[in-house]
Amino acid sequence: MNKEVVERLFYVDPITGKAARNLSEIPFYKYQNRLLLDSNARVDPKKIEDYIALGGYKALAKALYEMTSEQVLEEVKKSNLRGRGGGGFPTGRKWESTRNAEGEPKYVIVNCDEGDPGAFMNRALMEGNPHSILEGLIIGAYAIGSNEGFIYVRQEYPLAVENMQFALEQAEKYGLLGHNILGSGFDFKVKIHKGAGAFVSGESSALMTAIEGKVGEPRPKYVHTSEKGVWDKPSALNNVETWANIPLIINNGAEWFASIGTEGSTGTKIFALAGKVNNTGLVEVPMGMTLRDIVYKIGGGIRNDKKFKGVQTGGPSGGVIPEQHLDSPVDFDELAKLGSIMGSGGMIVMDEDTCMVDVARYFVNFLCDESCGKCVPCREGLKQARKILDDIVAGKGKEGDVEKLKEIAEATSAAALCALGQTAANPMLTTIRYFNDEYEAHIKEKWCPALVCKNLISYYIDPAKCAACTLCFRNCPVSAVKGERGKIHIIDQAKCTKCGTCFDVCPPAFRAVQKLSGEPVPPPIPEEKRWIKKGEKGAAN
Amino acid sequence: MEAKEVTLKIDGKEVKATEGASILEVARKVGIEIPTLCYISSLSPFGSCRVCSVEITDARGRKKVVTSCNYPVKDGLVVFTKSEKVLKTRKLLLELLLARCPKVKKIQDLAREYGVEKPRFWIEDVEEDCILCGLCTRVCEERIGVYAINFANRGVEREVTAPYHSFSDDCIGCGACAIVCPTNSRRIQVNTYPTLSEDIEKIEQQFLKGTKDENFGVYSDVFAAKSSVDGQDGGVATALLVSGMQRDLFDAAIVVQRTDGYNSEAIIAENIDDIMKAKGTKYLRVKMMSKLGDLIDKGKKKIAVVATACEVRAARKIQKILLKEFPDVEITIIGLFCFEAFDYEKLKEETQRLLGVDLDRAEKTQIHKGKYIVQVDGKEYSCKVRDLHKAVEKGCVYCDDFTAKLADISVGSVGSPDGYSTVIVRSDAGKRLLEKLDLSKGDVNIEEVTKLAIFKKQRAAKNFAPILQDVQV
Repeated sequence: MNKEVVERLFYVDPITGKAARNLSEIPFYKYQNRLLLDSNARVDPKKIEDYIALGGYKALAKALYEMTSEQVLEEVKKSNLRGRGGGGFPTGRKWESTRNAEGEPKYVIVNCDEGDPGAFMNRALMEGNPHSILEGLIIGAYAIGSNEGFIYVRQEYPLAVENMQFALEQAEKYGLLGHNILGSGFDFKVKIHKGAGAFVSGESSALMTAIEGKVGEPRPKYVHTSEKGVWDKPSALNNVETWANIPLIINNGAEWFASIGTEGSTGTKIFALAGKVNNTGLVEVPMGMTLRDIVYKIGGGIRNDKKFKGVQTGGPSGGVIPEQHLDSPVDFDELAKLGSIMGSGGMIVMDEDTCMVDVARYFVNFLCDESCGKCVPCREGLKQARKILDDIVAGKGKEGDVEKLKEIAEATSAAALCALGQTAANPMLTTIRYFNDEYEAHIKEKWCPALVCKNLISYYIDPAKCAACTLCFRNCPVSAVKGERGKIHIIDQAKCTKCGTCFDVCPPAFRAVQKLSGEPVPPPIPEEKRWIKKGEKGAAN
Repeated sequence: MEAKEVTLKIDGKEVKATEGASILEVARKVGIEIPTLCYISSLSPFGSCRVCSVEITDARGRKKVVTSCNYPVKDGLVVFTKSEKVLKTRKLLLELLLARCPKVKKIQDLAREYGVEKPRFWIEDVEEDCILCGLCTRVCEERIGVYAINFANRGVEREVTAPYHSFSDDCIGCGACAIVCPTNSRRIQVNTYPTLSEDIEKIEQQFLKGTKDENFGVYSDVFAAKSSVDGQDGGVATALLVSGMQRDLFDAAIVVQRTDGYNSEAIIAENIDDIMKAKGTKYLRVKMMSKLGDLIDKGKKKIAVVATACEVRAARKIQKILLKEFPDVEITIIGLFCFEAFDYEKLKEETQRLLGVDLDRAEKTQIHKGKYIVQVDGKEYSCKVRDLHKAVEKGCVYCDDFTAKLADISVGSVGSPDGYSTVIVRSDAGKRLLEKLDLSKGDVNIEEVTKLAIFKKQRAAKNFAPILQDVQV
């Protein structure tokens, strides 16, 4: 009203209790470096004017009028930008190889087939700031000598398709796309290709096969797709985030870009921080920030004061990194050393209640469905690995299972046709490497230390703690809980389906329902001892 | 571009080769054996079984495992086909395959070579015998050209089938898929119709009766005939259908009818009118077998099919499958002589180009003594059939059956005087169709039929030869 700041409306950090006057005072944002994401909040994705007002398409004009295509390529090479889709291949080198490859036309391609569970970095950029990607693509086309591009978007991102389509039309109207761009004589047109729902189509050769109109299955890349890609023509394919970095590099120069991050991994990276942390969402940080900083400073630590157990990076092709490596810097090479990968930016934080065998099983199961099924190691190997892991979590694990998993992992890594298969073993291998004791517990002691695997746990009501409130009794979907008001409840183990409802509804003040694993369930207390005397416990509190 | 010669090393042996050739080709040429399951030289390499994996050291000195069937050789490449890593990888791959197909001899044998007797892994289905190598789908696509089968589903659910799991309308029963299959997988035959010599023998034993001629099959009678119907040649096929339907030998027939212009489709005829509308030969291949499925779904039990050899093979295969479930189903097959079928669009184009007439306006088409004759407005236009080679349907050159050997009765113009049809009776069902049918008979020239039958057989054999090259039949 009086141009005064209304302090009572401030965001109060739940952890520190401090009120934040500016965005930069909120810990979640304070430690980020939102070079790419920042504009999302400031532009209407359907208004090219907004993007231009923030300096958009300045880089394109600069590239077309102040730089030769060689200079643009050199700048990108000098920036040491590496592919954000997972592989981390140097973008400039990829472009150069397409530029120098024989064959016309040459294609440039945006890969927006984002599919890692929980990840939505590309989606945010495509939906929120499509012009930043398009500008990067046009600049790349100019550097490579391509006049035709594809934007491959998964159909499950309808708003991304819509906003990008809109962006293409607007850019064309403004003379930024199509014939004779900005009067420079450079022509470039773009088509949107909607994906048909297969995760594996995000693999570059599979994506290109899909663009050709065939089933999106990977093909051998003994000759790189940068030389023989779509219709066997040279094709430079990069992830959404990679393309979005290009205008920044052209505007601010390669040196500026390379000054962010680490020597081997320059720039920022967007992660989809998810799982058991207090603050979840997209975070953009300079490469080289430690996992600890991301999880604790930005993520605000583990929810409900639980203990940190691991962080899964890189989606189904990545691995789980344990606590002892929390201080590792996050960049391409460091993550690879730990047995994981940067991937496209999935980051799932796990606490002590997460079973690592179950995590491995989850990802292997995901890949069993999402493998194209073409090659034996991936299709048959994953099927067998899933069976072994299913058995282990069901308490039917046998001595030698871990060795079998390792053998399968070795064969798939060596002999699978594409990156999906070659990296499919990472979740298995890293959990075996860092959490082998959990595998041992499941197999030898039929015990799930995290109390997750249904077949290995039992629910039990501690008679000393039960206040006979009937909450669990009323909520049990299979009527396995016996009891009434004033009478200690017991669980009929034969009826119990281990859905966990009783555990969830038992009031924190009592915590009477417990999970047991690796030990026998105590027999129910005798009928006559079940009555609670008034005021004795629970209810009196 | 001139093919460049390169030098590489395979298992320590220096070898010269053309740049871009596959490691496998080069190795085999110098007598180094690498096992394969999804590779034959007449088809493009696919790289699905990975059994041909070898280890290479590239120019930068890095070692990696690659599939030899599709890795192009370069100068200075060093290849190890039997390194420890290679043997270990192959062994595990074979163990995985054996767990998938425990009963398949080829897998058993190869696995044994690598020291696997029994897989340590889970066996899901002991009857499974398809390793999804893709040889069948590739031969169908790349050689035969009919694309009848392909992979469906993905991941662990992947399988080979015809579209929508229904009876294929495209399969011509040439059997190429079954010939190249390394595991004798029967699975692909559920909704497709590969017919090999052993299948032919079984069908002949089950359905046909008479003596066997090696060129035109089992028969009990051959003659030339003319009916009162004004159809193609002697109008015998139409007359057989009319008479059969009048005498309730079947209550529905699948026939081919012109739809718009010359283009045609298979229709279900349930009365004489429908049949009369379908008279006259259309030299096209039409989608037919799904109609048979439709009729069975409708509960029809007595069905007649008028078809050329490829469709007859399909109908017999379906009949065999159906009989297991519905023993009272009766299918009567009237076969038509066929040297090759044409693609409508292309035939129209070629007719326009060669004869200057619009095929869609044709009152009648006929192939007679090597001539293609089109009648428009009462006037006949003709050219050599040979000149129509561009319009021939894919796959016809792989078919070795001119006279529809598996039909109950076959009809065609070759071997008979003008206005007559040649009739070959092959079964009791065929005989029954002829009963009470008023036909005037004429002389038949068997040599003419035999000559074309042999010619077609030889053409098929010649085309099949490259496929058979490295396949053990």
